Amino acid sequence: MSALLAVRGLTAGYGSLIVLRDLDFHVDPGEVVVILGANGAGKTTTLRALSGEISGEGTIEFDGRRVDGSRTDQRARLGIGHVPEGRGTFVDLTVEENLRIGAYHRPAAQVRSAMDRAFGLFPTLGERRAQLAGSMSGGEQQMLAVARALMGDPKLLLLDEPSMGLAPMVTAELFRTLAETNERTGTAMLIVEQNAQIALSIADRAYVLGHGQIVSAGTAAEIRADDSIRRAYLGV
Amino acid sequence: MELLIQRLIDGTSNGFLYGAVALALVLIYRSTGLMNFAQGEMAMFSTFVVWKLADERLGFGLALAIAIPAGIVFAFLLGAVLERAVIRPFSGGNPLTLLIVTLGMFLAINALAGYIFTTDTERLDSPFPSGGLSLGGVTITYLEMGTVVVLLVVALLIRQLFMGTKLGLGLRAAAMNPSSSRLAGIDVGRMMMIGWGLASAIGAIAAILVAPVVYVSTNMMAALLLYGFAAAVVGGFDSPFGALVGGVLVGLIQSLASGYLPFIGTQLQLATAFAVILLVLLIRPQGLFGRLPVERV
Amino acid sequence: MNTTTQRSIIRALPWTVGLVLLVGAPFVLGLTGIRGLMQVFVLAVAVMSLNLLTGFNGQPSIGHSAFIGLGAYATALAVQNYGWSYWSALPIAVLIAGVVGAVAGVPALRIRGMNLALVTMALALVFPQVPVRLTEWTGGTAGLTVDERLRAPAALGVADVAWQYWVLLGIAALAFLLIRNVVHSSMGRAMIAIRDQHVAAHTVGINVRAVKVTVFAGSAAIAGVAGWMFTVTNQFVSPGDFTVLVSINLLLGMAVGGSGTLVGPLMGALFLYYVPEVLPKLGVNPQLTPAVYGVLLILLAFFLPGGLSGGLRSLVRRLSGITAKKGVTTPQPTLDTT
Repeated sequence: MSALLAVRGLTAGYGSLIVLRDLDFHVDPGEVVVILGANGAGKTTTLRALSGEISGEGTIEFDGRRVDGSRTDQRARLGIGHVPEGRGTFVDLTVEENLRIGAYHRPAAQVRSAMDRAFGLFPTLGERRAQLAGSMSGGEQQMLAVARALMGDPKLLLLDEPSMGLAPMVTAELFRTLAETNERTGTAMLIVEQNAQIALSIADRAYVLGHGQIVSAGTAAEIRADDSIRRAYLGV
Repeated sequence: MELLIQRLIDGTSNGFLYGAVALALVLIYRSTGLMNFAQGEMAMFSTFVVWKLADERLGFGLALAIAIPAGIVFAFLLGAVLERAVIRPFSGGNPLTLLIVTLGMFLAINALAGYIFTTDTERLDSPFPSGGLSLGGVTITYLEMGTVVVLLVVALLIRQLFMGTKLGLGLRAAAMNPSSSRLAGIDVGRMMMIGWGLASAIGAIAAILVAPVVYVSTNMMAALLLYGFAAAVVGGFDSPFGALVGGVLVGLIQSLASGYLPFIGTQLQLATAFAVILLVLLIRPQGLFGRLPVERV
Repeated sequence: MNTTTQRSIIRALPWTVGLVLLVGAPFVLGLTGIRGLMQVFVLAVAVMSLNLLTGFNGQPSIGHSAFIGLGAYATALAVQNYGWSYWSALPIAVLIAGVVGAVAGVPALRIRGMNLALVTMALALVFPQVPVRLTEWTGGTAGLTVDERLRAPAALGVADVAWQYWVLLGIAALAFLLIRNVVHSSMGRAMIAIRDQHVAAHTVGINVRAVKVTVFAGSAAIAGVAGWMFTVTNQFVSPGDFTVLVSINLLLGMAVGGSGTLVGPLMGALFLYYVPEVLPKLGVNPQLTPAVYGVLLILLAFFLPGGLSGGLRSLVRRLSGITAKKGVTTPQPTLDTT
């Protein structure tokens, strides 16, 4: 089976500051992959390079075609959904408008059913569809961000620290929903997460990033079992 | 009494023109975050295009029904091209640079209009019949009525576009949060071009409507631009609705001040715009309907 | 001789040579050349005044044409209508422009960035209407010719125009030295701190309000001096000489030379005077000069944000083989927008 996302030799950074050096990794269709790593290891940078917010060197192949020369919005239309750090909520728009933006590149006929599906996954959003997004709590905004990305019917969903700022209960619920979504729709996910425990609990595989390079890779179970990784990243 | 009513009517009609220019300024401010000091010159240039198409002596003698829509389409394209070619390369740059760039556009467009068309003052016929309705000493000209009606329709169409269509949602999204919009697959660059195009077209409509009164010349927009800025400041620079209300208020203030304050007379009317801008920025910088920007550290 | 003094002599050399050449110019150049240089001096002081406010303090002004106009009109009215001498009109020109500048500087405490640019542009648009409103006094649109000229002291036995030239040169040099000393003083450091980091400047004990109003008033006063120089040179003022386009040209001059630098305004003034002279000779329709300016302004902002002086500095640095530390580039002037 060919990979959904195949990254080879990715080197990227900000201006003259190089953050990622020569990364190779892949995500298969339907897979949930976690990237672990300390602060400043380059996790967010990796996701931003994948969605084209920063440019780099190396090749990024997505769904059978090279996307490393494409703009961010083009990659989004090809099926890379990205829930950015800080959620990227359109605070002055309603919940429903936020969701419509997520489905901006899809034909109008599909938006209705996508919206229904989003409200099915996140019932709170359905109750608050006419509310201004900025007036919702952090957890609700995080759900909205995930729902917004799913509205675009992505083949691959990039999630940047989805648990950031959320209460443990809310985090658990969010990851349950993510797992459910993955099961139901087969959307592959690449998740960057500080909370390694919970991320690994829904993941198939994981990469560990250190100083912009992949220092370890394996199945979720292998990573969980690795003592040095446990000490460094899982805090146990 | 009749004089007062007459002044209120004239002020309102002018106010709609100011409101239209303000609306153009606000659209650009919301999408690009800059005050477009070249707005008036863009509108002036487009009006010259209408004049060139329509003038029988020095132009092509086309009917206004053709020349005016053509000029508005031209204005849209001009705005879109300027955004792409001149403004985009500086996006995210520092404000002094953007200020200087819009002033550069001001100089260049002004001089090019003089070179391509003429530095003389020319006549452009009104799209409306001359004369007006008189009622007990008060006259409303057909031009005034037409101006108000056209600009109301334009305002409603713009509102409908922004609030009621998918394109409008994209335009609003791109203006509010460009990076998030890109991640959602919206071509932000195209939205910026459309936003500038719309603003330029609205500015041109205002200029074409005012042309029968102030005539067509390279500096026809200097005063209108300042009143437009005053209107935008009164309404709040990020509020399209405020722009129109601000326009009417500024029109009324100007009309009443020049009518009842002898020192101002006809020559110093522009000073009312200055005074309005200064006072509003001092007392209520966010205007009537705008939001206060957050102090950045 | 140690290297420090050597270096400072090398540094002072071009200045000394330049000044000697300029002082000697009336003995060499014809009347046209002298008159041209006088216009350059007027422009230089005008751009210096704008640069003090916008370049060093980050307060944008599209209204300097008004301050210059105030100085010029005050001089013309005092000399022509009230029979004053040019010299007694000078303090009046400075005072009027400076006071209006201080008054304008107070709202600038609350109004910043683009909004301040807007207010000052409004000022520039309104100013030319004032003489028109006061036509009986000012000559209105037709302008006001000043019959009297600035005369050389009889004892010197030189032509009046040469004397005017030296006076203007001297004033321009004084303005340059004054601004240089201010910029290098603690006041100058406070100005730059406010420009670069407005909010933080409060916290390091700088009296932001006092500095900003003072700079605004000082800048306007110097613009008033430029206005006085304008009237001395042209013996004529009209509303058309002080339109908003003049303000924009001054911003261009500042940007061309390099805003927030000391030498920049001198280069900008040379540019503003000689480019329109040269363009027609290159076959460019004079009508298109402002278009060339505008395009140049945009290109400069893109390719040479440090202006000519910034470009020159990095060129010298590159040629002399002194590789700048990585990451150190020409400082880009910013706007106090907060």
